[in-house]
Amino acid sequence: MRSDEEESFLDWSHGLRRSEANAFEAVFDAMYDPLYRYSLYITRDREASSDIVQDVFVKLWQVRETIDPERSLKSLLYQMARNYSLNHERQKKRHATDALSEEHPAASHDTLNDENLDADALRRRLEEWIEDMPVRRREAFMLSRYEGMSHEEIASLMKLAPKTVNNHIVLALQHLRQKVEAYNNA
Amino acid sequence: MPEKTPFTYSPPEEIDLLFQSHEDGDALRDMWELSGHWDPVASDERKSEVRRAVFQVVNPPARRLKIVQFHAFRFSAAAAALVVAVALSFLLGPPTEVIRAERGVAATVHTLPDGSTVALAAGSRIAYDERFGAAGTGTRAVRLHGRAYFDVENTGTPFEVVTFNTTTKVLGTTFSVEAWPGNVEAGSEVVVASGRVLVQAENSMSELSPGQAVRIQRRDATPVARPDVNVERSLSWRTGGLAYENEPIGNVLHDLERRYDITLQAPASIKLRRISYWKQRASDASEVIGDVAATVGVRYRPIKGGFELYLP
Repeated sequence: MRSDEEESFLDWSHGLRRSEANAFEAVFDAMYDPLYRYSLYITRDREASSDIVQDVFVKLWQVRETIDPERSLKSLLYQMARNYSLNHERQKKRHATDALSEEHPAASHDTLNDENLDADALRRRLEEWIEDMPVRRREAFMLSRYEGMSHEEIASLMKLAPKTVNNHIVLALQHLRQKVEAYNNA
Repeated sequence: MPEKTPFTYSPPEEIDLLFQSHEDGDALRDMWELSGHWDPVASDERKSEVRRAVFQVVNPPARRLKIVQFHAFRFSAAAAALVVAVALSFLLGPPTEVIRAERGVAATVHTLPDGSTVALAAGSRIAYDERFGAAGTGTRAVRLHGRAYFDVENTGTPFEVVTFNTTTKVLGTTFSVEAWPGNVEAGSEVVVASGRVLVQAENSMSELSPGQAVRIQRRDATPVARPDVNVERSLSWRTGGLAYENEPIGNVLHDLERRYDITLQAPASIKLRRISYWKQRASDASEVIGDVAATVGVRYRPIKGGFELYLP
């Protein structure tokens, strides 16, 4: 039995193969936000993430006739967003070494030590702590925690063993724990 | 991949199991719950802008069906290279003519209603309003996906070439524009052969004179002048030439795929390398791939429908 969501994606795959603009629009509306978030998890760059998602959808339209309805359109889109995001990261790294002109926006080290950890401050801290993780660990953790993906889905997207995904998530949570402890002791 | 509001649901079963089996399970569960207090930015304020751009690039609106015959040369398969305008009756918008150059064919030349001519590279397409150039219609606008060389009639009305990230404005001149939104370092490149052109991007405007070239990556990047571009060479694609100046291999492979209508594969580590390569008259695909592989020091082998580059 397919879920309703899988049914929708299947319909859209067939619609795209027939160059139906409605199907394309439906996919855009369903997937823009998740793909944008995913790109942001990897790049941490809003501008770049918008561009990446734009490229993903343009590419989707270009390859629409070759879409295989037997394979998950949703996974395909995640995979494309991932490839483009990693490309972006690689190029950024190369430019940084080439030109040494990489921008490093100073992390917002607002002094919170005297305040209570209110909701806003907590959110800022969490963001900072999560950003501190190695990129692949952050990616696995975010997909699990904020996108609700299963280990298996994450494993196939990131081309890892499910066991490794599990390890990434444990390490991510331990990383947070260390940060929280360090913060409490500061 | 279940659709859930990300931040409120309890851990899925496998995460729950993880907490139960791990020695620090309780602490990990606390962290899982704590991390639910953060909302990792759900939406993008540029979404509507991206939506517009995507639907423009993706779908030059068209209603009428029109077939345009090209004078394809060099290839006996010229008939197959014919080009068809697409009738997408479900789309709104002004009626638009679309001219397409199929993959695997030599550059084809076409005359626009105003007398200007366009040479289109394999795999490229242009679209323009069916009233293009008619008296009283204002700007002559052509939407481009791919690579084209324009020889513009000076009729006193501005002529514009619109790509996914730039608009190039001219009166009467010769120049080429190239823009493949899906490429590595997606960008638009404008090369001027004669006259002056104005290249407008989201946050910039550049004026180019003959012999000058500029590249604009993505939507809002600063234009980069390309002093290393040899204009004569970079326009040689019209007569079967190949010219790449410090170009990522990924783009070169895309270009060769369109040129020869083949499939080329390479790992990202190769695609991101750069190459400069020039050939006045491109030979067959295997020879060019061999040259490219040798230039960057990688190997290649035939695969179904094309070639694969790989690291030794």
